[in-house]
Amino acid sequence: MAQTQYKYIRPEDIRRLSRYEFGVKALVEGYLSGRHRSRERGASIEFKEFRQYAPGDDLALVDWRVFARTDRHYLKTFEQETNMECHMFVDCSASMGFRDEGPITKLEYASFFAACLAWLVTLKNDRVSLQLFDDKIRQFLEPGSTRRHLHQILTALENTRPGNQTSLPEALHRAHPLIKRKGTLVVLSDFFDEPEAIFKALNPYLHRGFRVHLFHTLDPAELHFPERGLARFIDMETSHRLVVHTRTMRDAWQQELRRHTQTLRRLAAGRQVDYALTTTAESWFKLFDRLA
Amino acid sequence: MQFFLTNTAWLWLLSLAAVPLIVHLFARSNPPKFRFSSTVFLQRIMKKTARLRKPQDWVLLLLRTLAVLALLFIFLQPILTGENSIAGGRKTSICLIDRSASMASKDGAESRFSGACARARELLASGAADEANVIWIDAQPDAVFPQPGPNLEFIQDALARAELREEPGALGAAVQLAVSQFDEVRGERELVILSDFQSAAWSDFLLEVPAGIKVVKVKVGAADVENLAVHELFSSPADPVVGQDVLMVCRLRNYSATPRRTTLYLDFDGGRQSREVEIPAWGEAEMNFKTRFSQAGQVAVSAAIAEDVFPGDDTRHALVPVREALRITSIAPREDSLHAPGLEVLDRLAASLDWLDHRTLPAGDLPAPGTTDYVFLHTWDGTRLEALRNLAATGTTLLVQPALGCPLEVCEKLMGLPVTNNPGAIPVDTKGGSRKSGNQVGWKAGVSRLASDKSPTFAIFKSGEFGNPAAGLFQRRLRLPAEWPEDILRLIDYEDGIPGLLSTRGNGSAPIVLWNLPMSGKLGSWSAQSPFVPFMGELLLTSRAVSRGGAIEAMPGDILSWAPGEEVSPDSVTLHDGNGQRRDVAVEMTPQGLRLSSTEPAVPGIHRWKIGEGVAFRQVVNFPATESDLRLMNPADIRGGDVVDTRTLLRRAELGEGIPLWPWFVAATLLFLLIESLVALWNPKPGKQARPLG
Repeated sequence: MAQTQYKYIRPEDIRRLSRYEFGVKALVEGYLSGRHRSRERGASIEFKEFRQYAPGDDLALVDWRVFARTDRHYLKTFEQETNMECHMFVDCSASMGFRDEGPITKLEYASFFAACLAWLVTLKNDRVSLQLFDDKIRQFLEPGSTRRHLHQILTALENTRPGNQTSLPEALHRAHPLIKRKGTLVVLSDFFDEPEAIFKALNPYLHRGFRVHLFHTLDPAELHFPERGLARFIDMETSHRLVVHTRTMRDAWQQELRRHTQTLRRLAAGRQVDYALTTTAESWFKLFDRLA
Repeated sequence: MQFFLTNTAWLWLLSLAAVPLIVHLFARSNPPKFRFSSTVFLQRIMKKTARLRKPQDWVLLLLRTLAVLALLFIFLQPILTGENSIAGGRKTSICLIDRSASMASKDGAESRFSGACARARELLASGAADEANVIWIDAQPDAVFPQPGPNLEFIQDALARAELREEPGALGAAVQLAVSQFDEVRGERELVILSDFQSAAWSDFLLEVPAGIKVVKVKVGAADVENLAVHELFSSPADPVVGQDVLMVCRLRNYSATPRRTTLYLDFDGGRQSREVEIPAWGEAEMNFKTRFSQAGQVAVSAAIAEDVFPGDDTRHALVPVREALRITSIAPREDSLHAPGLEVLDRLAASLDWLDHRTLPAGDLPAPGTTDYVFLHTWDGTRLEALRNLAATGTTLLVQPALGCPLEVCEKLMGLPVTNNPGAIPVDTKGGSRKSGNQVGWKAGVSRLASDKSPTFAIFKSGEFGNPAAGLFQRRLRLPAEWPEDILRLIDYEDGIPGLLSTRGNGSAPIVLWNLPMSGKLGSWSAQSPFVPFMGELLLTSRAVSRGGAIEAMPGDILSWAPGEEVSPDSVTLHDGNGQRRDVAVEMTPQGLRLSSTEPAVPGIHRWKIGEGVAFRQVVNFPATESDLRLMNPADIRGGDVVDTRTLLRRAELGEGIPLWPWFVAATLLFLLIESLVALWNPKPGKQARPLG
């Protein structure tokens, strides 16, 4: 892996990722008894709680000593250690191909992060899935933890070109039945969608107990609006054309973007969803801190 | 105002005004393309700010276009000219400057006349006209040039040297002179009237000028000036005889809203009298000085008050022609007439009165007008009615005793009365008896009961010292009607009410006395009574024409003239004004003989025609009374023309020459660019109440 032929996994990234560990504090739901705690009760040495017996419970789990003391049937449950699942949603709509002041496009930035995350997850034998979406799911790679699976993910990322319009809510809606087990949901997008619709689409995941991370990826030029004078702006997704004078629009743009991000942040905070705004000029490694 | 472009060769530059619009359109249609991640926010912002942004865009386009236009106009060198200016045409201005006496009034240190001249000089100096002239409004309006000329410097010099005249202003003649000068002028014509617009002079004036002449009225004089004036001075009677009681009547007028008190001084014959007088607001006061003159000749009288802010009318002069004697002319009756002895009675009367001369003309003759003071027609037969009325009109008192058979109708016509329906001759009453028989019969007469108590004729008879003025008996009389109109003065009536002496009031002419008291001793004893002489003296003195010596008073601005007679050499005659200054005299031979005239208009004062060192004749010139009322009127109330103040006049003059506007367009360009920058920098923000996304 030190000598990699993949575009989005570079040797220096690998060296740096060696210092990271994914999901050490996260509770996961896995099929392997492994290194992660699970919310499912299972066979392990980690005591979880006593629970009153209910019909259908395994009688082997009844704690007879408690029964002797209290004359009641209690089950002794233990924490189940399992493997973790991470589901990555990478926006590959046309707007993600924008690059102005940043060194790379937003899609490349998201791909770098997704590649690193996939490498980090599979490194610990956890499972990772990938959804490449625009206004629909362009490509879905089911969770996996093998090197082959990692290869598929990296290849898919490299072969992805930005195009079409964004519809994150639609993509989340369509992906919901494909994801069998709950885990960590990481969304990488520029979020040029209605915040209310996005969080409405996230609700089923949250209800199932997913841990959700929204990484809002923008080019630095999108943050402060580029100075282009009188220019014809062409929407990369819709090809809509608009003649504006950037100097007169700058303040309004910034104000509008600030309102948009504040709305996202407010809705995320209300649902205990992690939201982070990053630009392509920044290192994607800071996002791993949010996953720790 | 008119707008001209001097540099029309560059007119094509105006097409460049479309450049901002073209730039605006092309810049908007083909700006550099920029692929951007999403324009959703931009569309939202545009939607919010379109309400402000679009007007701002249009304002910017407008400002840029205006800036370019203003810039282009700098090169086109525009000029703003007067409203009626004709580009390249000639303009002729005639300044009608009021130099009548009222213009002497001062607003501060400067008289109105000086102010008017100064404004006219400024107007000419501004180059408002190519040709100009100045016409003076005075008694005899004249002009600096016979026709408007281009020598404006000469006119300005004339304005600087001009002096006010204490004359009335002949407005109509001045305007007429200006109009006649404009007849020969082509191009733009402007008549500028500079006056104080004194109400007394202008209120009834109709300003009419032909179409095509622009009239501009410039008022000089800020406000009404309070003034006290000696309005009138005359003697009563106008031409008294030596020793006759004379009343010098002086009338003062107060042209202010507050009562004024002053001292009036009367100087004559080396003596002086003074009176305190109070004159009501906007009123008149009359002061009478009683005097008599001891020598015949022209007596100069002056009335003066303390000097006020308008001193020209504080003094007034009068010449009282004191006569040696009055002349009564009898038109002789036929020799066989019972009235013939009346001639002898008048001879005796003239011999008794030093101041009366009597002469007789044959029947049918009449004296020439102005040659006698009284005409006594002893037996008037009703003929030559018009000639008699003419005599009365020229100041000769008529004493008319109708002859037998004279119709009443002609008497009424002579006296100017409506003719009554009473045809035929006046009936005659006769009573018999004679002195010889000692049987004295006849009618008695006396002062009429209808005579006024204040009648001066009977003033000396009030005391009774002189008895009945019509004492004696009358054996024959005309039976005149007892009733006469109120206009007729009843002097003497018979006891039975038949009028003895009737007199007209002599309004505007000499009185006409209808005589029904026979003087002849054959017809009565009246002339032999002692009251006869004093009564006749009083009657004659009080029955004279009322005149105010107009013949020897000239108006200011008039040319004084005098006919010294053929025996006088014109070289020996000199004319001196009221200040003793010698005036030039012109000699003229007329069919009536030698006539000397002053070459300059008369100014107020007593002018003396001297032969050698002796004063041969005097003429008085007084301040024109109409000029004393210094109330001003609004020039706008005078129909015709514009009213402008001096500043506007000069502004118009400047416009007439044209104001170069390029500096203004430079300023406008900079201003438009500055505003454009401010508008461009102004960044409308979306409303604070904008809904969040989603």
